[in-house]
Amino acid sequence: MSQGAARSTRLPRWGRVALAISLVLLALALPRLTSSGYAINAMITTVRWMIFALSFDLVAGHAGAVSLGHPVFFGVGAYVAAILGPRLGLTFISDMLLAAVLMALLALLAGIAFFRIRGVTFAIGTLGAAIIAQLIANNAFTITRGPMCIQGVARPELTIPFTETTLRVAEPIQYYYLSLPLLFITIIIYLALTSSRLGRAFTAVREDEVRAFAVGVSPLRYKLLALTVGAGIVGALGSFQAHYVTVVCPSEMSLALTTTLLIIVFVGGVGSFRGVMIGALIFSILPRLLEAGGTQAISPALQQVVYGVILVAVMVFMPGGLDDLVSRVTRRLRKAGPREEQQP
Amino acid sequence: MSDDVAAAIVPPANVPAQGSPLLVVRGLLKRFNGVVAVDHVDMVVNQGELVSLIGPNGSGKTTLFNCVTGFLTPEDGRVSFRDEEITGARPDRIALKGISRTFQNVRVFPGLTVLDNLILSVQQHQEDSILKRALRTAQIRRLEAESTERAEFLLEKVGLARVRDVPAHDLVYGQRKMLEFACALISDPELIMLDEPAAGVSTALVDHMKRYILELHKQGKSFLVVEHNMGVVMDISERIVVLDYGKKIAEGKPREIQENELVREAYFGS
Ligand SMILES: Nc1ncnc2c1ncn2[C@@H]1O[C@H](COP(=O)(O)OP(=O)(O)OP(=O)(O)O)[C@@H](O)[C@H]1O
Ligand SMILES: [Mg+2]
Repeated sequence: MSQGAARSTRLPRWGRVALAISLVLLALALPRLTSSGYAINAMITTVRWMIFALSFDLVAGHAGAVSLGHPVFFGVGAYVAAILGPRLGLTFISDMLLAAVLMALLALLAGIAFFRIRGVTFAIGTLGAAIIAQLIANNAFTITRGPMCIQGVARPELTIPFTETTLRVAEPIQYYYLSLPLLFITIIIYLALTSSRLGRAFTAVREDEVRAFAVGVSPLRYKLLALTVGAGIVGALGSFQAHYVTVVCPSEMSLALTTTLLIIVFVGGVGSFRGVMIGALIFSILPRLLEAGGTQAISPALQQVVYGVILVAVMVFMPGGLDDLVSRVTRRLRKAGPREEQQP
Repeated sequence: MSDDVAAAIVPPANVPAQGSPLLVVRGLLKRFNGVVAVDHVDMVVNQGELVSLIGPNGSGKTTLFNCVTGFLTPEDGRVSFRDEEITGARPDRIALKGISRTFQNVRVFPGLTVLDNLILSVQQHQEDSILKRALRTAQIRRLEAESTERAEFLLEKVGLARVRDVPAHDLVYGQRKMLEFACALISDPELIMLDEPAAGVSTALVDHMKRYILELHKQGKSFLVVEHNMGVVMDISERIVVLDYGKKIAEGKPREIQENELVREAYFGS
């Protein structure tokens, strides 16, 4: 559904290249426009949700398996950074790689177990796994320190190539620039897996598994591909998060994260790169706008309620999400044609 | 142009000689909670042969198709293809071995365009890897170009060239049926299994399809066709196998089947 729409409103190649370059430049320049730590933190949050949601959409939007346990890979990735990293004496980058590899392996095992179940049962099963994972994080006190959280995760130290200098990352703006490469890598992987041959195979798996078999596509193989890659990305992100906030708590895999992922992806446009990016942007900024508008921060519980209402409203009135809306509006504008409108 | 593709559709050199057994079904048994859907059926499709499978509603034709193509696992019996046992193998593996099929309730991917439906039906047969696909290597781009060319030829053949870039969910029933038919041909399979290709298709299109099946058959393709339209069956078949309540009750040339008492009884009741 979103694919057909995307095709009809696609920019020409040079237009897409120009748009991509301007967005990259904008992303690079953005923190220079402000000195507010609050604003830069908001930017980091936005980048984080973009990565989180793109990795989730690989599984939910492309392989068609809505896993409610996605934050588990984020949380365990963060714990890997907090627990294994220091024991193995790993640096920031190798820490992230370790988290990515371990989460991909965990996802492979989980996938082999869970993809046997279909439809709603799959969602419930992954939900159960997420609840169990959080229970373990809360109660395996000797390992995770439970709700006391693991404190004092090392801040990243980067050796600058060909020099003796090491850069100790501490400022938000440094973290922001550190998060951008992770976003770019995620975008490249997302686009590589969802266009052309692989994209077609994913569409097959999502739309009709029986027919997929008949054209030689193994649904299990493609679901596992999406799940392992998605988990690897979000595992690395969890590691990044641990090194950023320097504290890892069981709430890093809370189901509130699942709610936000669902709302970003389904409001933005499931299976659509543009939609997911727009969704992540809106739902990173929105809570802060609500805060700024009111006299005090809105409670997380109220935020969940608001999100829930938005999600239901979108599902009912705008099943294609914002992406579909954008497509329809641009198509309208093109059809009308600005010149014709001027001559009555 | 048609010479071009005729050349492409001629079987490669390593296939068994004309007339040797291609698909062999022995003692196939499948039950659904007590109902015997396929009852110890034996049948063979020889290399280059066009065989039809007929029988009244519920006689087990589709179930036999599903057992052969791996969508169902038979309880007993064996299926072999090109002298290799494929009983109980996964359907995607069987498809890649060179058996293509269509479905009785037409199945195409609604969200993919007509062209993408076709390319998807051949891409899995091509030698490449997920990594190469993700990196979109030169080899992948060449294969895409070749597949597109082949798809366009087939679209011309089945009269869908004008809807090439239309998502399949915008097609009317007959067009979907033709698209699924074209999808079954694009990978140049050894054996093409069609489950009621003419059902719900206009007479003009049925005629068109019939001619194309015969053309491919002349070029050496093997077919197993389930069809209720007796005009089509009698016209195209070299041999007909008749099922009734899951049992094979007759087998022979179209003329013999038309004259067979058991077949008449099965169809018109006693
Ligand atoms: N999935 C299933 N579960 C239970 N029973 C089934 C199933 N599929 C088929 N059957 C039964 O098996 C028998 C054979 O059905 P099948 O669909 O193979 O017949 P058919 O010859 O293809 O009929 P038609 O000409 O109507 O397509 C029927 O009695 C049918 O009700
Ligand atoms: Mg049938």
